[in-house]
Amino acid sequence: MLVLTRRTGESIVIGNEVTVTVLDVRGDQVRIGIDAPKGVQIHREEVFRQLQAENTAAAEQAGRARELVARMPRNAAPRRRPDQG
Amino acid sequence: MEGCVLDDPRPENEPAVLVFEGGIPGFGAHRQFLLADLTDEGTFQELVCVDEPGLALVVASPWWFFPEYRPDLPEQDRAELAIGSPVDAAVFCAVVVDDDQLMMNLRAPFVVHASTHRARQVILDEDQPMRAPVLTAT
Repeated sequence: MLVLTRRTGESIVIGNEVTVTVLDVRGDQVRIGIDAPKGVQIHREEVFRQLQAENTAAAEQAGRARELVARMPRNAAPRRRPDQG
Repeated sequence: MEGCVLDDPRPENEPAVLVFEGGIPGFGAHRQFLLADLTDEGTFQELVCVDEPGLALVVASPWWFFPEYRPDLPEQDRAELAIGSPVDAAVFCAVVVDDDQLMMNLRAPFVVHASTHRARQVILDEDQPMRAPVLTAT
């Protein structure tokens, strides 16, 4: 891992299009600003890792989910139809 | 001025191909997924990888089971998908099985632009569960 030391207000540039700026440091918390192209998704790592694991689990269990869905009574959805287009 | 040539609509029952330019977390570099009906009445669908049909997720509209669900689409996702207003967006959530109970991921809904079929799995800023039990009428 590349390790750099930066002060508040200083930045690092990743590739041509991503800039990471240290905005504020208080105790053990650091506020970070990120400028990146729209297509680059930026997430807190722990949430992203959790989502990866959830998606992997959902794919692994898709067969079981299909079985459970097939067993559900018709019109099992308890509520009205979705209210989006 | 460009003309306005009208074309056949998508043939009925042909599943839409959704394009996830940023991929789906956990699904590697795959970008294109079909959204196919899993049940006749249309409650559940399946998101199937175009390049690897064995890779699939069961999904459903969250509002079938969570009518109070009102996710606030983060600005970055909204801009990326070019969603101008809520009517542009179709939303569905992954279904996972936990101890034979169907659970729905409300924290990370799939959001699709209804016209362009550009799609993203959005991680909401709000504190929604990744596993919310799907309660069915009995």
